[in-house]
Amino acid sequence: MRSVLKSIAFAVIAALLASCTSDQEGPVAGVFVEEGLIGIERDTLAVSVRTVPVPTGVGTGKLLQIGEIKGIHFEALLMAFDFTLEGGLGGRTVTAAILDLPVVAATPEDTLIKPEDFLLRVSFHELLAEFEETDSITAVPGVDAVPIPDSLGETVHGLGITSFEFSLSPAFVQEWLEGTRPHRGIAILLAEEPDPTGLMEMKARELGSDPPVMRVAFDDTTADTFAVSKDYAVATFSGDGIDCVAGVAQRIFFEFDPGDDLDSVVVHYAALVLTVDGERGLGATRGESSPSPLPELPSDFPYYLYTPNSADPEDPAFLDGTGVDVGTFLPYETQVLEIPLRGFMPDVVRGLRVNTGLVFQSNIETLRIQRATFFSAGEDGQQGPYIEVIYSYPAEFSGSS
Amino acid sequence: MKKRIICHIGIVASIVIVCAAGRPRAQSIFGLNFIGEHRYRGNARHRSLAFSTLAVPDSASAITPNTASLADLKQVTFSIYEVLGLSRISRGGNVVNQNRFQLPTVMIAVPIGRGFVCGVGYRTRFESKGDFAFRREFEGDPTPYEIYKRRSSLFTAPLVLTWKFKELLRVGGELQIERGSIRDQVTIDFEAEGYMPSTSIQNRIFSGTSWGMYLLITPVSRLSIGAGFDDRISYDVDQELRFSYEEFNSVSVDEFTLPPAFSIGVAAGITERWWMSSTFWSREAPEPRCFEELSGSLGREWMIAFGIERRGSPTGGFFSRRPLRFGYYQNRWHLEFPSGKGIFSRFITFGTGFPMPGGPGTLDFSIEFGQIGSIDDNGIDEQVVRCGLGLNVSEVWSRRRGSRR
Repeated sequence: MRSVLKSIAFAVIAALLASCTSDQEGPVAGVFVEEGLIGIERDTLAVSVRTVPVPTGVGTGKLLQIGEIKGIHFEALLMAFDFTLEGGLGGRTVTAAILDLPVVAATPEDTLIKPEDFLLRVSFHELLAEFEETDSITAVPGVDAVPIPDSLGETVHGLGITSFEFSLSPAFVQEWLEGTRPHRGIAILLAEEPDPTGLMEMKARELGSDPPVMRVAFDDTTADTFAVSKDYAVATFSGDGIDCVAGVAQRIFFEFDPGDDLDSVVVHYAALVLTVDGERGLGATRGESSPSPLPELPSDFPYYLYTPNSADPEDPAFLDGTGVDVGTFLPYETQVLEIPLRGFMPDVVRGLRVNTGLVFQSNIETLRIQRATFFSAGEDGQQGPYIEVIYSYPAEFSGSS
Repeated sequence: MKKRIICHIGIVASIVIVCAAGRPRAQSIFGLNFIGEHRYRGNARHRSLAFSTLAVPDSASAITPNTASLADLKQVTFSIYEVLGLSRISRGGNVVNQNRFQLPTVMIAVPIGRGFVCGVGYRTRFESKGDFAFRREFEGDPTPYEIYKRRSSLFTAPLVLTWKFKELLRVGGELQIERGSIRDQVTIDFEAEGYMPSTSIQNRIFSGTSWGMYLLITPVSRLSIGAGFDDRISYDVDQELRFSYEEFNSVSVDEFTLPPAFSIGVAAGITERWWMSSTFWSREAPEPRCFEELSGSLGREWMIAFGIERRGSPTGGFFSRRPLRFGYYQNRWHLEFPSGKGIFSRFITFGTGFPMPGGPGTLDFSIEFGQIGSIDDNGIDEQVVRCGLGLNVSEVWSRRRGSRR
């Protein structure tokens, strides 16, 4: 009898333990709430857009550029040389001076022109003030309006892949070496508007090898080479589209009004939606995207989206804020870019955060020159920037009215 | 002896707690509506007789459909009952298998002399548990899911006093402390990164008191008549709504009333061993307050049950000494789904029992086969098997000689 009871008890316990799992009611229970307790909606918010210049400059690039590409104007190259000679000149006289610019890439914007046939007409000018690579130079500094001539008195030269050595007046160099003429640096300027436009790139001091040099020959048949001691490419940008430009620089300011409709909802997702104009975007120049002479630089555009501390672009607080998202995209491919706004939009609709808008900038704004352009509404039949919001209403339970 | 009883109780309670902790399940998928599925009172013996036992005196168990029956207990009696339900739910080609435990029912009764017996215990009146999710229609990506969870339990802690007048009349009264909660939770989630889920929770806390009165009359030795009245239960309902955004949260107070319930039953002995019994139970439709969406979908609940028992012989072989019990009951729910279409439970039941080895008490088993709802009327049907296990242990509590200091 006891063994029977034990067996039964064992079987019951085993059955209880074995049945501690169940299927989810799943679809059979859906009939009770087929309409759903919660309404889920997708909506869009209009945004107003303006660009905000944040003048800056990049003095530590590994390439020096002059010319124009994708609307970015590389207006001048600044170079300075250390003309210190151990033991001095020793009565020697400069007989020739050659400025050697190690050009690595030529990029005419007219693709019908071969790079080796592309030339920029440049002239050399004395700088009227010294510069530093760590400066943020946003415009061409003061230069002597009279160009430095070569030994033949010529002042305009063609700069290209096959034309990168230029004679400078020995008299100028003599005086720089003697110290009787202050050497604050040389500015290489475009002597005339190039036609077609394009970009010429050369190695910078920061690359670590084969920098621009000045080769000087003396009357006693000796010669010396002076490497560039600091260099700088001065760039500006002018455009009237929705452009974010790194290294120049320019940010995009988005403003929106969430309205009252979102006051009583729960936001699941919000995103700033932009359409990239690949035709106008610049990820990397030809020199940067070539495996030589420097390691190939990525051509994607790293962005940083933040909500500024001030909604007034004139306020310095506008330049800083709370990060919303970081990411990358290819600025030269036309595509829809959806930037998640994460907790920003819920905070705004709940009134936990003051809506100061959103600012889109390059995440390497002071390190490199790039450009990303977005279509405005109707431009090329494309949709302009907007904010997409997916939200739901709180559940309507029974008896909770 | 006390140690052994406590040991038995401990073993059974441990098994029940381990298996059932955190897993109180709905009796039926339909219990996901309203206040859950009604659990009728009675232990394994009464279940195997299909709850037809309102008029059946029970001298072994403290868990009975008729409180007045406790007056027959001569010893301190502890009873516990647990049931496991296995069901197969079908709707529109979808089939789900469910295994569900119920929270155990427990009761202890103590004779206090002069025909009086008092008792206290715990019994679940209504309960449900649901977990399901379904895709929402939504234009574009990603697909949102609505994930639904429901937990409900309305229970009572009865304080019982019964009195027996000879073999003719037994009277029982109950003061019932009513408590419970219904918690509904809905979550919207997406199968994509970067999407924040939202959760809405409605938690309703029920509290109240009620009373009940029961009679058990035995005019002749093989005939008993039972009757019961459970007064209305007026619940105070503290309602809390909580959402992902706390500014939407709210609290409110409401009321919900379950109307009085009436029951009547009869039991007759055909022979010394063969008994037949029947019970009818009914409660009027409650007002849909707190459940406004069910307005027009709540009707009168009733249950009619029939049972036949061959009681165990004190002599004879193994099977002769075992009781055999059979029954059938039909129950119409308060809930109509859809409106106007009643939900019916129809079950056949059987079971048996064993005396506890070495002492007074019984170990009873019940098995129920049945169906809840129908595809034609309700769109869903549920094939159900329930296995019940009840334990009754008794002993005389008296002060030992010489224990007084």
